[in-house]
Amino acid sequence: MPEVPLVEMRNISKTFGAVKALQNVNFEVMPAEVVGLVGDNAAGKSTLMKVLSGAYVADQGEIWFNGKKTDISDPVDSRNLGIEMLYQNFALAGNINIYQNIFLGRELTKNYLGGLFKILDKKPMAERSHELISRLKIDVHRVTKRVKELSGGQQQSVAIARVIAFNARLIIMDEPTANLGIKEVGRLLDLIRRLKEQGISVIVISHRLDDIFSVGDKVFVLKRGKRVGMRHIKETTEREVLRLIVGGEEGEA
Amino acid sequence: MENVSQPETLEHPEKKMGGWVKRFSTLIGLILICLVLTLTSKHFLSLENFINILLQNANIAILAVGLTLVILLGEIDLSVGGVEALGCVVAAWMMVYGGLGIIPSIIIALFAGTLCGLVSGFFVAYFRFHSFVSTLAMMGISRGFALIYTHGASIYGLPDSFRFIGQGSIGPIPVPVLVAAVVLLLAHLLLTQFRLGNHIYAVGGNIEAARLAGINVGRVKLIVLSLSGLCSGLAGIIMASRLNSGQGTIGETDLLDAIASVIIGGTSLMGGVGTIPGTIIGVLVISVIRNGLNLLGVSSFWQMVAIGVIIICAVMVDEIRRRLQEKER
Repeated sequence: MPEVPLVEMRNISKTFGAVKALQNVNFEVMPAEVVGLVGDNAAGKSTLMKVLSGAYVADQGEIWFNGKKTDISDPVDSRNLGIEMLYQNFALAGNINIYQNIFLGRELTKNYLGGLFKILDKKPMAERSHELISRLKIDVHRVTKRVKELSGGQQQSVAIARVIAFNARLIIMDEPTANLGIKEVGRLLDLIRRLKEQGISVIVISHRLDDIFSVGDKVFVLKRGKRVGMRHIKETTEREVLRLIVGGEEGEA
Repeated sequence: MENVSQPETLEHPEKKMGGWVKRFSTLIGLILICLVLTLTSKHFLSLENFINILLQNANIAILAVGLTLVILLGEIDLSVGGVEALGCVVAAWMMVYGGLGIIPSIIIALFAGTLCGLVSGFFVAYFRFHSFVSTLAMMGISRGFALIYTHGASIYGLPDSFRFIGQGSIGPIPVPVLVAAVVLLLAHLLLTQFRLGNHIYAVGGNIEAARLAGINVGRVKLIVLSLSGLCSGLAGIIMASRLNSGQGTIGETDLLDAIASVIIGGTSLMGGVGTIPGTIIGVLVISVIRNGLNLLGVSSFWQMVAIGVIIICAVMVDEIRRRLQEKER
């Protein structure tokens, strides 16, 4: 039966000054699908995803979510749709603690004096963060620890806890395995499989085709801001995808 | 899935003790200064002198509150002294020439202060001015208006009951000290119990992360600079009452004292690090030193030199502390 894509980006273009970062790019993700997004440096992968997460606004093109046309003009819009992004640099504030980072911008509050005062409700935020962190098997004993005191891997876990904390429907991961050891990569790929089982779609931007071939359903290839190909993982090989990344392909809609 | 990375040991008892000393080093410094002054001046250690210290510096404390919020964001407000003078003059002018009552005059003066902050904040938030520039401009504008409205002289003839704010006391405690205490408490609650406080720390710590977390960074800056303006206006009203007049020349060294207090209190100029309790200690350090130097008969010119040296020492201690912490890791 024909399914409605969870996200459909149509004819997206974005320029920075004279640089055409994206040119008429089409992109779609089905529910509970893991999609790889690959391409050389400056191919436009991150730019495309930042358009979807609301960090950038496209000059041209449409975004459809669950069969409806939507406007995503800032990160709040995209979060409200259930789109979360795991940034390559984690986008955490090191000077505040773990649970404050997880709930940053979405703090829980309690109303006082009939809603006149909204006071931070710290206990449930700390408890929920602890729960999330335990689920990710991170060895952080206290959620009141400042993020800058954590190791790189632990910081990534906090960033992951944040993207899965709010019933996401789509999680975008920008180079999630770039700075991880082998075991940690395995753990992250397991997490992606579990997210898929829960019906959550995942987009993985990566240089490492291995990772995408191990968890992905589809792979999109970008080159110099243009989409040069889309393949189903089952029907392609790493060699073919690599050829697309390097050489591009003609005749692709 | 098994644990991969090494669990970190978090609770070293010795480290904790060291952390305690580090955390309270400024407080220990303050106590040492008090001890030295107690030994060198027979007038220092008395309740009367202590209350006098608090009264003399209530306006600095209020300015320092606004500055703490601004510096936490990684911004600066150079206009606090000028806006304080403007608040002083506006309150006096409204009562003497405007024919308004005390309460409306106070409200208008607070509004004038807030407006100054709002204007500098507007350019910072929406035109990406550096706050150094917009508040430097506001320093000139506010001070200029304060002098224009007083014609460089003083406005006299304030109603008698207005004196209560600056000169009255409730029990043994002077009203300005109570006002400062309330402002400090409110700011502390803002920073620790409200979303805005959380957002101030996040913006100061990593502005891009804050933006990506959906925080309206411009709005936070606008609000915080307005709050600083409000604090400056309030400090000006207290000065008008204490001086029983409106004077455009007040508070010319207050910027130095207020910034010094905030920095000595452990707030980082880089943003994201600092607390109101720290600022309270910072204000006390500056006030006690000024008071002590007065009691010892040191001229006010040398006091400026001393405060400059103390700022350097405080920041040095902070820097050494930070480097030691980095080495520990």
